[in-house]
Order: sequence, then structure tokens, then C-alpha cells
Amino acid sequence: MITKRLKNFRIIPRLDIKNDTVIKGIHLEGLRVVGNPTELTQKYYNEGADEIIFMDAVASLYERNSLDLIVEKVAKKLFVPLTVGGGLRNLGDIEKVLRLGADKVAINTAAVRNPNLISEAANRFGSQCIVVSIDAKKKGDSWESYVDTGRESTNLDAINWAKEVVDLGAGELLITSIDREGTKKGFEEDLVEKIASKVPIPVIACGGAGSVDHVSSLYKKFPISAVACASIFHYNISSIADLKASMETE
Amino acid sequence: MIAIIDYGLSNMKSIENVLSFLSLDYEVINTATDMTKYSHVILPGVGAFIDGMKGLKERGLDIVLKDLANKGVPILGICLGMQLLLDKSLEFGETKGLSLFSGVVKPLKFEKKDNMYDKKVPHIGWNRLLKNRVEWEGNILDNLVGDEVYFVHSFFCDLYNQNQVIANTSYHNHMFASVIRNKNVYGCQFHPEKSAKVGIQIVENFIKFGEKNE
Repeated sequence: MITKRLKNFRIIPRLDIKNDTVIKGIHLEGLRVVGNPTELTQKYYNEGADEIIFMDAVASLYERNSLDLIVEKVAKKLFVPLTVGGGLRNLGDIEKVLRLGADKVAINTAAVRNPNLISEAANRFGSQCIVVSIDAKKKGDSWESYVDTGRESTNLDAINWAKEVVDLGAGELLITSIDREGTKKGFEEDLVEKIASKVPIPVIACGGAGSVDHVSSLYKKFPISAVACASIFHYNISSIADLKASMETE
Repeated sequence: MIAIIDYGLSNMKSIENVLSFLSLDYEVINTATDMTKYSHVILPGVGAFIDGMKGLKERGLDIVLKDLANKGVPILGICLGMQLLLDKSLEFGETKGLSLFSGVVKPLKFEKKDNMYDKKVPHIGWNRLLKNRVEWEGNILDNLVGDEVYFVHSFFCDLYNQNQVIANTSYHNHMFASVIRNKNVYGCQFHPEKSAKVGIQIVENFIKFGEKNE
């Protein structure tokens, strides 16, 4: 069977990983075990995932990385791009995970604490493998960036921060709405569209996908390059193949 | 035995994983050495052209690659590895390449529409391979199960000789060469090692059909 690919739009399962299990929370909290990372990755790859994202759910809180062995094992049989994030603090951490078989890294907390890490990493490994992850929470009429898995506020306006990281050399942005994350109530469309229209690089929207309609609503909105979804796949609301098929018929 | 050329920039792991998956023997080469035992050469790469050429030259690998190309050894350049096969790049001024193809590496550029960035660079994601003047039978695109492959690039190859372009790809109506061939030397702008089944087939085809030296 030929895997369907949507035009200029990627469907990316996001696996939040704690120790050696895939977990899912709501608003990045209250974590529930949903499966095994190696098995879920192979399943999603076989179903036609365009890429895979691994996010170490606790690494930046406890300053440790538990993902290395999983990345190395999974990468041997995964022939679509793998992005790994969570707890990557410096160039050494990034290099290590790339050598284990990740194709891109996602950085948030370390980039906020030391923005030069973005330019240093982009110069050393190429912009194309540096995804800056922004976890945003609504604050009045704007959005504020959070770090440490949604626990620490930064006083950074998410849209301004997005523009800044582009200038520093980010190759792609992963925008997660903390308010929507795990709720299955749909994407924070305002947030992702505003950022996507203001930056020249691809934007991956994350947080809130709970139905096929939520995803197809974003697919029609041109500047969004990809969606990262968890609940919709982990809880079998739709398979990747069915999701893609239903969007094409519209 | 396949040689993967390591010139200091690239993450080799993805290529190594595909070759291991296909049970093919390979070695990573990072210095000018006797290459007679290698049947095929893969030149991977991500990053900046100028750093890529510098990395090759520092290791004497530019001369090794030109020599292998002349001897008819099949070479596959991937992404930056393809771009390095051309005469020159316009990335950060002008940098000379390996000149195994006549052509220039140029930046992908799109205008904003209604003050909005609706066409993104880098071009990241899946896109189609389109037939150009050359049939795909008997080359690395022979009998593929699909025609969509994974791209990540901000620059593209503009070749003088269109007969060397095996496949084109269109991104926001901008057509660029996605697969090129000059006798035993091939280039892919996309990443076969990250293009699922189609990409694995392309690597297999390179090993299978790469023997021919026409």
C-alpha cells in the first residue's frame, strides 16, 4: 500500500516519554501511561506517520535524560525523521542525541535560559535540525512562553520570542498551547496562525487535537506546515491513515 | 563494500541505519585512503556548503571523490552531498564545488503574500518526484512503490544540462532538480534514508543499478 502524503502538510505523532513508557497528560500535567515507545513508534511509522517527535516529559525538571537508549533502538528501524526534545541543555547533549540517530532536536528551556545556544547549535549542526519548541499559555490578549514542561513562566511574549529564535537560526518551530494540550478541544488556532504568518520558517502546531475536524481545520490554513498530535492517535480516535484519507476527500 | 564519506559535518547515523537494515556492508571514511575495495560511495550531508567543501578539502576527500567519479565508481550525493557535486554555490558569497555537474546552487526564495510568510523556507516535508526527460527504468528511480520523498533544504541545484536531471520537484510552483545523474554519479536533493519505503528502494536501486558505467 502506498502511504499518502498531504501537500505541504505533515502529520506527526508526538510521544511524551517518561522513563521507558509513553505517557499523556492534560495541560502537560497529570501523566497517564499509554504505551511502549518502541512499539508505538513502529505502529505509527507503519500507519504512515510523516515524522515522529519524542519529548522527554520529565528531563528538564530533574535535569536528566532517560531517552538515549530508546532513541538508539527506535532509530534503527525508523525511516522517517525523528525529532527528540526535553532536557537538552547544551551542544554536547544535542550532539549525543543526533549521534544516537535523532535527525532533529527540539529545545525550549535551555534556549530561553541561553538564547545563544540556538545560534551555536544551528552553526554547528545546521539550522534544519534545530527545532525551537515554544510552550505558550494565554495571558490577556497575548500568549506567554513557559519552560520546564509548562511549570515556569518566562515573561516572554510567545510571538516575539518566535521571531527572535528565527533570527538566531532556528529551522522550525513547534508551538504547543498549554491551555489546549491534552484537552482534545482543538488547536489554539489564533496562536499558531499568528506565529506561522509572521515567521518565514515552518511551524508545527501542537496541543488540543481531539478529532479529524480539528486537524483538517488547520490543514486548510496555509501557513501551518505540520501538526503534532498525541491523544488522537494514542486513544485510537483516528489512525494516521484514516486521518489523511478523510482530509483528502474534503 | 560501501563507503560513507564523513567530512566532519554530517550525522551519518541515519544512512548507517538504512544500510544495516538492508544487511549491506559499509565503512565510514573520514580521511584520504586507498578506495579500491569500495564498490559504491555515499556522500551524505547537511549544513552549509562552504563548511562542506572545507571539510572535504581538509581531508583530501575532494580529490578522492573526483578520482572515483572518473574511475566510474558509483557515487550518490545526498542533500548537501548532492549540492557539493556542482560547480559552485551562491550560499554566503560564492564557493567552488566538485564540478562533477555543470550548474549552480542557489537559494530558495519566495516573496511574502499580504505581508504574510505563506511559503516556508526551508522546504521541509514530503514532496513528489516528477519525470523529466529521462526514463526511470534501470536507474535509481526504477519501479518505485510511490513517488513521494522527504526534503529538508534551503538551496537548490540549477543544472545547465537538463538531460542530467532525472526528476524534478515543484515547491510552491518553483521547479527544481531533485534527482540528477551524470553517468556513474547520482545526486538526490531529498533524504532517501528518511523517505520510508520509497527511500529504502532508492538506496537499494543505487546499489543494484549503480554498477553500470555507461
